[in-house]
Amino acid sequence: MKKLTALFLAAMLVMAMSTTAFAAGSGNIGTTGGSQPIDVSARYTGGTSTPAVYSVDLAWEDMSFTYTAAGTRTWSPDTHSYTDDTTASWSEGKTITVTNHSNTAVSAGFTYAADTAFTAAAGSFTASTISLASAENTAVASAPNGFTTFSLSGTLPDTQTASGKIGTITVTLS
Amino acid sequence: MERKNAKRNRILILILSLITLIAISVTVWALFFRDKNENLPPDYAPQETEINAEPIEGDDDARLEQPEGGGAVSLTYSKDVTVSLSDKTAALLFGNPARSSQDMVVQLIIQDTVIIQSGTLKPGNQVTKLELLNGAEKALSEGTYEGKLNILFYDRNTGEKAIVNTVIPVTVTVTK
Repeated sequence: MKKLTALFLAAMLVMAMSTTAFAAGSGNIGTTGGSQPIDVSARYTGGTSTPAVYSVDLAWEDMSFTYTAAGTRTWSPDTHSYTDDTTASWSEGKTITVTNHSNTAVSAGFTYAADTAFTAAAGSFTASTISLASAENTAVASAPNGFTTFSLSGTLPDTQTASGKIGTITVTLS
Repeated sequence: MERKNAKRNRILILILSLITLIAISVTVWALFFRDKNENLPPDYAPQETEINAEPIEGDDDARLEQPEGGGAVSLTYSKDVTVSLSDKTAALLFGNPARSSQDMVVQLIIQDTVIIQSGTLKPGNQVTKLELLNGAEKALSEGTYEGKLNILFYDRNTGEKAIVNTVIPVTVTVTK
């Protein structure tokens, strides 16, 4: 019985003993103050998607052109043919402007297709493709933009004395 | 004489029956089997406004400055289109913001076949759904296609088609 009591008391004494606890790190917190740095860790898990939002403005000038032929065609009875002393020209080119308000880069390609009766009049652009950067980090008023100038060359039938559609311009946005 | 008349009547009935049969066949073909995909872009804007058009929320921007005699448009769009064969519809995003000065018509073209042609889409409106043209679903099967949106511009006053149009390459996913 004495042994048992002694064992019990010894156990109580051991449990009542204070133990010094050390925190992780190298800080020093005493009873009167101190500091303990605690590391904060973080990691980025990708989960936010940023879908492309396409928003493009197009503006084009009046695509009316005039083909002017001037000069004289002189009939030669000796050769039964005309001596052609004429010159012809088209009015100046017209501009197409593209502005990109998208959050991704956009490219604009330009093509001209003449209607069947007017294939003798060819169309050309000063730039057949315009590449525009993303509008991210730009003000709306200063969005990336570019332009091309469309001109006609070749001839127009002399029957086309009234203004009318002779072809179509296609702007491909990719 | 009576036998002759009866014979003539039989021939007449036979001929009339034949004509009726041909007429019924032509009607059935026209209604159900005729290829209706020959959709040429209209030279003047369709009278009817696109039924799926909905106002673009909060879109009250001022009109773009339009060069005299020319045009100015704004387009918002996504490059993904999903076609449902069972619903006979396409889910897409295409908007004609209020800044535009022209009406628009949208066509979805796959391998030179017009699958969709919208009604008129006025400035300030967008579509997120469009119906397939009649029978267009027969030309498609489940899978992915490279297609294009053909955007046609029309003068708001005269309805006349503009000389400039726009093409946007899109990826078309076709589901059941």
